Amino acid sequence: MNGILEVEDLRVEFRTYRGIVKALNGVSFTVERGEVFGLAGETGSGKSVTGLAIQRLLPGNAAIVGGRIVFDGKDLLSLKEEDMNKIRGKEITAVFQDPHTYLNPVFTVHDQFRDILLMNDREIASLKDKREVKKAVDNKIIQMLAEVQMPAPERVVKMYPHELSGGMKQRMMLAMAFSLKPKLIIADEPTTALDVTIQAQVLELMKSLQRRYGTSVILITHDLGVIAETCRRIAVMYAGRIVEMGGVDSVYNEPLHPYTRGLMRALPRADKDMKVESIGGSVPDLVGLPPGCPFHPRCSRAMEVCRKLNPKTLNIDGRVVECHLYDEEIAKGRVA
Amino acid sequence: MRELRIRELKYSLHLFSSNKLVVIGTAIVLFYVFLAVFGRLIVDAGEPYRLDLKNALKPPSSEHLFGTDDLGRDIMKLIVLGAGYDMAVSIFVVAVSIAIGTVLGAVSAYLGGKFDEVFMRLVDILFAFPGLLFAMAIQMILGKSLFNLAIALIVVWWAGYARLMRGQVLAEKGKLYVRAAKSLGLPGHRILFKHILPNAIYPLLVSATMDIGGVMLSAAGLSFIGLGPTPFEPEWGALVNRGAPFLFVAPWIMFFPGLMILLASLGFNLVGDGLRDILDPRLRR
Amino acid sequence: MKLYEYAARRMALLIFVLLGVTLLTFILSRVLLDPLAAYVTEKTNPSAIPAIKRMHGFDRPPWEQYFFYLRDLFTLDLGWSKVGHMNMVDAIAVHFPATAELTILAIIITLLIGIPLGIVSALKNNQLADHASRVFSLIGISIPVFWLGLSLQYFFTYWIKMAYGLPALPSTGRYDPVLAINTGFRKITGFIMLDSLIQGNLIMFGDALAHLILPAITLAFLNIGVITRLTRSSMLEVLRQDYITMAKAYGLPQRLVIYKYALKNALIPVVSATGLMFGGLLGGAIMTESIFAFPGMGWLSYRAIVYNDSNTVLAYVVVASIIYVVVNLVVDIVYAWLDPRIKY
Repeated sequence: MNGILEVEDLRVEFRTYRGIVKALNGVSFTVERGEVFGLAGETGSGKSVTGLAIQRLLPGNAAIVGGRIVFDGKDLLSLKEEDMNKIRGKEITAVFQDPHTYLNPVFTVHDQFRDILLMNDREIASLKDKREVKKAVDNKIIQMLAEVQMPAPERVVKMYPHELSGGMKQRMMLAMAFSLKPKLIIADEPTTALDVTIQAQVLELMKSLQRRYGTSVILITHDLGVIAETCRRIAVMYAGRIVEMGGVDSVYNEPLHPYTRGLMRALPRADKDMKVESIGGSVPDLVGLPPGCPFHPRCSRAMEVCRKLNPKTLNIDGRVVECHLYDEEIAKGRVA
Repeated sequence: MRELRIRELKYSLHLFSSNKLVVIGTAIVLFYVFLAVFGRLIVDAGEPYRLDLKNALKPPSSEHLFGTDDLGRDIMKLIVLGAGYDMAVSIFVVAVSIAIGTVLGAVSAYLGGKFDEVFMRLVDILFAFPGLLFAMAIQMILGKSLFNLAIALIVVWWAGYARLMRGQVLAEKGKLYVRAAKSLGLPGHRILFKHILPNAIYPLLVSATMDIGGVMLSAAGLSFIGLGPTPFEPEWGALVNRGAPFLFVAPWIMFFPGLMILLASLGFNLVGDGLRDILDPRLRR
Repeated sequence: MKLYEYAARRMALLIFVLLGVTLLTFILSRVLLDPLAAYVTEKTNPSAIPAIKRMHGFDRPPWEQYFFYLRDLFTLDLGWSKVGHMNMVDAIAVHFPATAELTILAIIITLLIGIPLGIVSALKNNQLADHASRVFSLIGISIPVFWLGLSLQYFFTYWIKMAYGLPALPSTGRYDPVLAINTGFRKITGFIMLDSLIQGNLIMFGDALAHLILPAITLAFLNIGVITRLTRSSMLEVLRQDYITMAKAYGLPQRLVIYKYALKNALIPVVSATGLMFGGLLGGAIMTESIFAFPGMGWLSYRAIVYNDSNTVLAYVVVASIIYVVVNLVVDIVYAWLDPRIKY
């Protein structure tokens, strides 16, 4: 297997006042080395939870109740917390959505980087002399900021987060994520909170950094346009499951799952002339999901079996789909 | 809409009853209210006037559960009779303070500008005064009585609510629904009372409940110093005051009334604290 | 605005508030209370009263009196303290250090117990330790100060010797004058604990501490509850923040995350609350000082009330208000300095 990350049948539950929320119901996918993998879905589909689960950063009321996560040959779920912590920051890093809340307001830019570098940078860790370390850290930070095209890095390092613009903060995040040369970056909605013009810049920056370092990236977003621009493969999530997965070109041009179809139709396309339609209904309540396919209440092609049975995961020409429509046995044996 | 309200209330009740501390607090408060209202029926109301010097300064026994004081009066009976004073004063003070403070605070916040500035400076001056002393001074001017004690406390407490309410209203004022209402042409006072106030109410409720406990302590404290109740009113603070000179000889005289003050105040604080958890929108659902 | 500009602006406001306080105090002292009471006793010859009135300017119109009152305040002529038996200014100079020492010790106890308790409560959220500390805090804010003082006094200065034969703490006063003479103690700053350390007089240090400890605990009890709850809720709030998740995502160890990243943010409101507490306590805890006959500002003002010495009462009010307002200002400035987000 060449995959840097293999997720198998991952299940995550949240304990809430209203009951148990089944946030992930058997998610499986593989990320290849050096690949940008897109994880798409609406709010509540479970995409962010997947990202957090891989890093084992789920909040206290959540639990991974099933499945396997294998990263670079290591079984992440069996690791002790201290060992997992060694992987975080060194081999897996993260870029988060809202740069305004993800930076500590009482620390300067310099200080935010300092501890992270001291912890995770192998070169700096090998230095012995305190003054050498300080110089190395200072230089490295300036270098990192220059790499992400941050204007006036020497001045920026002394500033506090609230003095920086959204775009600058996100560049900081990218600097942190890439410069540590991790094997995998989990980017959760990295451009969503930014203005459209800044979005384009940051996206370009991200692409060039990825090309330069060859890092594998899991790009989590609801923005199908962003995925189209950056990813090679895409997995579409709905109600805690992956309903369709495959190469970006083929999924976008020929969506198989009715939900994916709905998404594509809702996306304005410059290359096709068509009406933009939305998908009726709303995302299901994840507490006490009824049996059957989670999408069936909104599906225009729902069959009787969709109400009763969960669809199997099917492999069609290298594409993964979870839908009864493509189940040959159903087409053969049962009546619609 | 009504169905939603009922569901909300049911859910609140559920949260309320499942929180052990709150239940204990409510039990204490109810017991206390019971004593306050029915105390006179249980115990002979003439107890404060009964002198029995032969039985003075007796420690707790089966006959006098909490002992007797320097005049031979049964302390437990005095305590039962005195339950009502502090509670009446506290509720009165909190109610009136809230009425005055919230209205003034809300109006000041809503009007804003010069009026608000001046008003807040006045409140600042009031806050700079050491509260206890201010209450004492007012008592000295108006004369010693429980009612004047209440007045003195109101003068000191209303400013706190004014500030609280003002903060809440200012926060709500900036929110979108207020601007929406304004753009629809709703008159100012209508916006204030029908829309802003209901949202700002929650922290006030919590504050009010816990303040009943706090005011009780202040009222007892002032009585302890000697301002407030007349000599034969068995208010709990005054009872502790009576017991102070006899501390090393008959410590029970001051101990039990003070303990009751503690429990009563604790009851209200438990309830208030529990309310805060229940009303916290983040913890719901 | 720079920090010093902010400070200057706030100071101007302070002066306004203080003027308001003096005006209010003046109205209370001259108009509502009888100003003569400080200078007249039952023994005074009634025919001398008009002369006394003239001497102190009580027969002048109110606005003139207010002007003189302010002038006197500025020149630190606060009049005579009946209960202090000396000039008001001297009385304050003698009694204030006592209250200050008591306040400092009380605050130290409060922070040493309150903050760690709050942190533990936050980390062990909703577990037994948390519930226990919550109940403890609630009890702390429900306790009548005077009852606590009396109970502590009874137990530690009397019962502990009677029932267990252990050495008892002193029940009243600030220090043992006999011991002071015997060990050759001299007052330098007026702060006994400091002075005894400077002179290397450990016996006096212990004695002063023994006298301070009970009133300090009494004062601290209520505040421990407040600080614990505040630290707890502040920590919980901070720990939920995204930047904490970020720190964890980059492999920072748990201890670093809690004690550096979280605490620095969480302690900001605690600092302001402590400042306010400090100001309030400096004003003099009347009940506690009276119970322990601790000769501080509170004790002095209580006696003033009992003996109708309105002069002293009002001088005390002015002093306490000044302290409160100044402390508030200092807290605001420190807060602005600590939290880089505050725009001024």
